[in-house]
Amino acid sequence: MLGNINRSDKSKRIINILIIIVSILVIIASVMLIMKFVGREKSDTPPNSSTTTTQSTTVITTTSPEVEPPPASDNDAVDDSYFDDTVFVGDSITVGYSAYGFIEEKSVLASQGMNIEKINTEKVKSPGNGNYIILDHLINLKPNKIYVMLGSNGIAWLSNEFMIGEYDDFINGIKEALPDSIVYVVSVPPVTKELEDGDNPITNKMIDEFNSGLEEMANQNSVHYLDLASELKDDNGYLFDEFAEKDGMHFKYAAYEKSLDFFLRHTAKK
Amino acid sequence: MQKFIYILMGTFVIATLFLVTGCGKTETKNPDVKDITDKLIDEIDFATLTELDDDRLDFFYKINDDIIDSYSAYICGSAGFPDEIAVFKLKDSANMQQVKEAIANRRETLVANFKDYRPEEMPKIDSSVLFTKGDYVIFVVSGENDKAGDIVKDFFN
Repeated sequence: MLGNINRSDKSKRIINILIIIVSILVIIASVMLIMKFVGREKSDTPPNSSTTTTQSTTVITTTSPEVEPPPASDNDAVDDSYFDDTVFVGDSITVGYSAYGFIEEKSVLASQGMNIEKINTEKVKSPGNGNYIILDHLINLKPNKIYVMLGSNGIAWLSNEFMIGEYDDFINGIKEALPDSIVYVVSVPPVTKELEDGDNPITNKMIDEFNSGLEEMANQNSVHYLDLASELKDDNGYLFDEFAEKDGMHFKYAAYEKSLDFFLRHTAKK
Repeated sequence: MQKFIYILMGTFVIATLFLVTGCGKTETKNPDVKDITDKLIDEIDFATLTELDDDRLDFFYKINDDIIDSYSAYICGSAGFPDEIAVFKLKDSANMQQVKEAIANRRETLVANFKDYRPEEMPKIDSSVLFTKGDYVIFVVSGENDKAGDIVKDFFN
């Protein structure tokens, strides 16, 4: 009899222990499920980011500008169909016009590293347009308008005299081959204070001096000079942080918007 | 009665264990391509990226539209960095080779663009991620390619 009672007590103890173990396991499983669910929700909503959508392009940016750029005026602005028969010539900054989807790739004759020293010798390697020398391709395309922006590559290691001389040759080559095309020479854009204070040898003083020579060359050749640089710099002469990629020189989406808006407000009939 | 209780509890424990371990494997073997790019963008410090649409995708990746089930792709908008993401889900993994060749060509273009212009960016391209699993082909160029690779793999574990 006593033995029966002891066995019964022992069984009850075992059952109780099992109940506790199962309860603990269920609690652990529930907590894990809840944590997984919460974690999935967090990754759906990236913190500290904003999105803007234009046409079919979505850009992810994470910026908080310290200084707001001045508002653009809209005097005599034309609409962006002005760019339909236009070509943009330049370096990596110009590539961004097509990379961001503003201008079709076929109308952007530019490549990373392009500079005025090698513009007539180095081919642009374009997956869509083949490999070409820019002036040759310009002649093939016969655009009504041509925007040229070169100089960011070179200012730090080539003399202004040499660069302006090469630029003059290039512009004359365009004018000779395409006398009916409207040619715009665009100033080299500024860089940020952070870049200037860093290891990169380029400075805004160097850029301003080059642009001064560029404007003179453009006037002498009777082509249009566009001072885009002034549109993009703050009161201290630096590229607005809102416009600058992390390297302090290349453009974010907003800078291209600003640039194209500036171009549309400064057009010439011939 | 005791035996019955033991069996019931054992079943309950086993069921709970299945529930816990099984949950990690439900949705990730067939992930949405946008979920993959969103997570990469959220957790990797890329240069400013811009999303590619159908027309522009064709310019950078020569892939027959018919073989793609869905995609999500981004390039560096400023053109100053080689940072890039391309996630393709194919209709049939038998067409994988065409996509891998398109990615290889794109990678060569990035090398050509940056090797002289910005050689300091070349490690991103040299260590770029190329991941294939089932119908998926994923290409990532970033300054944190190891981390990017882990993020991608987690979607398929």
